[in-house]
Amino acid sequence: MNDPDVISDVKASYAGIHMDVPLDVIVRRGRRLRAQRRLPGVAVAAGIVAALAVAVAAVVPGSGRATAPAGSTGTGRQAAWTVVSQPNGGVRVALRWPGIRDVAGLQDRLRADGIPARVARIGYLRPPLNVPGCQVFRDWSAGPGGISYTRWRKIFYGPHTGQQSNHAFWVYRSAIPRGLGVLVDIYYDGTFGLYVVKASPQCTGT
Amino acid sequence: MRRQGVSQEQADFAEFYAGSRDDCLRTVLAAVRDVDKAQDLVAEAFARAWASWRKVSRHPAPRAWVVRTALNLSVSSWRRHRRELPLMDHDAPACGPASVRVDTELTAVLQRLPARQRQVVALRIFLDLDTAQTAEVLGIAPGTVTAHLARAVAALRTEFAAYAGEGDPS
Repeated sequence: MNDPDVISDVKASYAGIHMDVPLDVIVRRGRRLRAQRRLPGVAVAAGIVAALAVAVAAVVPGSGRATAPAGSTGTGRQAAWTVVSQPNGGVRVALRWPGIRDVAGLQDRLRADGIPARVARIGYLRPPLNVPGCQVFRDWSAGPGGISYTRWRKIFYGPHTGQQSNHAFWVYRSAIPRGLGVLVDIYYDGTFGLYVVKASPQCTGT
Repeated sequence: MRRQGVSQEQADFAEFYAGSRDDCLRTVLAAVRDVDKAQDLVAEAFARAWASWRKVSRHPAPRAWVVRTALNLSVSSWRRHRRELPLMDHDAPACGPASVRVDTELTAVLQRLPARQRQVVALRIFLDLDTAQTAEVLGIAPGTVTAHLARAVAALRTEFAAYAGEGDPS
């Protein structure tokens, strides 16, 4: 047996081995790696901006207390989110980049506005929609037991048309059917996913 | 314009992935000897390749980059888990995934080679790397690659001949 035969035998013995992982899984993971790689730079830049803001506030009289928007966390710091109730029953939520940490505060605020809500952060160890205690309607379905696109749109868009912003959304509590609630799944960069869930004490508090 | 650049990049990566994933998996499998683990390592290495695609796409041997990354990950993983108790064969799967159909006798022959010889053989055979590229991927001298390859091929020749002899009814 000569060398080319040996090589072709080895090749042949592995010919049945194929990679099963789909491309989109690889691409998603790669994007997350890229984002993680950018995070330290972003954190440094945010720290510099925050330090500059504090320095300016200390030096310039009267500029230190920015007026907190209506419905914000009201902590005196720049709020990571703002919630503004509208006369038409809608609630506008704006998330401030670079992402929010106080998801529990936002969740409490939405619940205080009568919205059965769960707000969760998506981390590396928790993939989207995998929220403990919550039964999420993952896909639109007009059939019984499903959530139609029309219903979803009424809950999150109300009378609005066109696209929502990447960092702000609406919730219309009057459009949420009894027994259902909303899930806001927030990524580290402040972008989010909006879903309908079954209301329950574990998930939405009611 | 930027969007177009991104989709072109992704198309290039998709083509690279489709054309090299099986060979990379086979190469890493020859080194780590566990299909599931090899698949995880190669998937993570491709994800890292996509995360650094501008750099990797200009690499003289992108497939070698993927394999090198997967093998590095394997070493890191071994360092993390070396204190775990080995279960030997007790929890070995009864059969592999559906996509894995190998001639187990022949692959066993390759698996019996020392680790470095397996790696050299896999890089030369599955990725068609030359001696210099193989040496670069493994971080060893080209002369060492040649020596490992010669010993590995000699061992394989003997083993394969014996295997073929066993299967021959005459």
